[in-house]
Amino acid sequence: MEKVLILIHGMGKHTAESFKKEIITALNNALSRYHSYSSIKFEEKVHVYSVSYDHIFEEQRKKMASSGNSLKEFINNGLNNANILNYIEDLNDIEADMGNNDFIHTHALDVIFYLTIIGERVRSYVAQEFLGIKKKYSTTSEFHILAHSLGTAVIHDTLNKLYTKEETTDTQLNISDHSIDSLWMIANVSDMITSISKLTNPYDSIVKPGGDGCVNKFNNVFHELDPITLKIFRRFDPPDNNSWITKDDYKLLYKKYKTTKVNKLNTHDVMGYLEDPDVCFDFFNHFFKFCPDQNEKSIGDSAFKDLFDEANRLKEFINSINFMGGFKEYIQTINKFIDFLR
Amino acid sequence: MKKIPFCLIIIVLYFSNLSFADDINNLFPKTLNSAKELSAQLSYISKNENTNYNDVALFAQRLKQNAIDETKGLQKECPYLKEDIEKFCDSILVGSPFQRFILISSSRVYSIGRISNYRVLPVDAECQKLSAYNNKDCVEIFRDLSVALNTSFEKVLSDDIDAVYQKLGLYSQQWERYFDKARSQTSVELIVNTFFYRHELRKNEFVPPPICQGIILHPSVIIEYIPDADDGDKQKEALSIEIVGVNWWDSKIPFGFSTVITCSDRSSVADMGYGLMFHFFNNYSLGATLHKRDPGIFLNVDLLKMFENKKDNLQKYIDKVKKIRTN
Repeated sequence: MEKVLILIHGMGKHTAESFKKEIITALNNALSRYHSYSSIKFEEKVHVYSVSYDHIFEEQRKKMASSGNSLKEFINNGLNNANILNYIEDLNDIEADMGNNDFIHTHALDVIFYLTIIGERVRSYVAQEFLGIKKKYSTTSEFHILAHSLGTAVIHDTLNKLYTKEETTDTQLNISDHSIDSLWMIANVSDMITSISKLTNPYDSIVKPGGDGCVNKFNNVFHELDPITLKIFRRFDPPDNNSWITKDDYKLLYKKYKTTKVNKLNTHDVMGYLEDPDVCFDFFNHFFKFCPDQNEKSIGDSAFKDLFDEANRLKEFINSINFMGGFKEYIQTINKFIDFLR
Repeated sequence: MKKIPFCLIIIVLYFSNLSFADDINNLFPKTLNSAKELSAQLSYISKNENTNYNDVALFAQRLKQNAIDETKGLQKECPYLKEDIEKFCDSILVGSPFQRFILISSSRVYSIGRISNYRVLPVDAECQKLSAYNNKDCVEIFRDLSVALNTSFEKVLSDDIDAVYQKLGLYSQQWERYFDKARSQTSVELIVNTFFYRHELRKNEFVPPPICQGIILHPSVIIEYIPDADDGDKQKEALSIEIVGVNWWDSKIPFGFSTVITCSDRSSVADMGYGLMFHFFNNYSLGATLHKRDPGIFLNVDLLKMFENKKDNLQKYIDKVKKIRTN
């Protein structure tokens, strides 16, 4: 039986290859900590594909920047003595600045673009790429998805449109016939994003395990000190009270990973998440038998350092966040986190 | 040592890369073969090529018999397995959605279909005693069983995926055209067009792009001609701001219009003009303005380039004809 892992990246500059390399490196780093598995390469056991949608945002950004800069030049040189309305110039400056390579334009803008009509283009594209990968394999193969950060919102919204339990339209699949074997949502921001986009939120959508969902196993991963997934930012953390899925399904088909070790200051980094023993142990067992003996496991787990000083610095930063709500403040908080990391 | 024929090596290598290489090692070969036969029949029915349901019933019965026979060794450890296989095979005749054999190896459970009625796999030690299944652990055995049984739906489900892939491809292309071929959008326009299309975007299904685009505060450079301006000032570049408008970007003849303010640096007429702008084929625009009492007309740069090219070509033709005549 073939096993396929499909990766969906988050905000920032990514290509399909760069994100795939990042994930494979993290997984192989984790494997190398356990002596019996140190010679195994993850990509030799599992077919790994990466779907990148960043080019859609980049194309838009470049078009806007190019147009804005041309106009800016014309306004400055060709209309010296003309009476231009100030706000027109200000609006055009926003377009012209799209070409800047600061955090707002390389990261936050991805989120903003996704929330506009561009988001539907992204979703159609990702869905088509996903199906393109599925077409390469028998339907009896296993299909797993791993998404990080903004990618969790993208894949959530995409799957919610792609799957249905009702009669299918010509752009939909039935949840029973084509369910996904496992979904790994790392730093899940789908609830935050859907609260702004007003698309179906993850508590009500079809992207869940169990009889009414399109996924067989749902793995939800967040770090207690990842500012992007704090509770105040609508972290997706469904309760075990039959409201989201039944208690039996919750026990068997859903797993929450609240990681605590601080291996690097950037607790949002996907590599840190995957290399954490609490995550990688179960992750590997989704694909092959990963069962180091007790001694080997202990040595391998402890090789993943937990940095006390970094953890304290992060706690101080998080305690300093005074979030009053709103998308703008959310972006500002992410911006502050990036500055803090620098 | 006998030399192995090169072509034989190639054939072996070729087959080892095919996905059904797993089939060769499947612990339930008869079940798998029955499932393949059934898969073909189900595909014919779904394409309305053959409505002989008796054939399907026959193949489903054969599948059931083979699956029950081949899982006899497991049935002691999994007392519900026979009943589940019967349920699986009987449900095939009902059609899609199918009651697939769903194995969740990480939780060591399986179920038939989507109902939350999970069966727990036996402990590995029990499975590994079973020489009939090559002393493999339970997850490996049940994986093979799930492949064997679910192969029944291979063709139908592949066809499903193909159909949705094709249709989504069309949607994806339409969205690409919306952003590449339609008029470019500023940040303000993106926000406004998103707002007006929000009900469509929030549907739990994919939607094509809107048939028209709103135009709001859209700046561009135009070439404006004001006949009443002083010599040297009649034809000049100007900034146009489309205040509000609409463009049907994908109609048979893409067409749009907007109200416009133009702004240019002329000493003999008012800087600002007010008027209307018309768009054709998304890239070409022309319009008319009034600068206080001075009328003007304008083209956008793309349209001007088109005329310039034609004008150049015409002049080249005229020169060529003159040259031939003088010769």
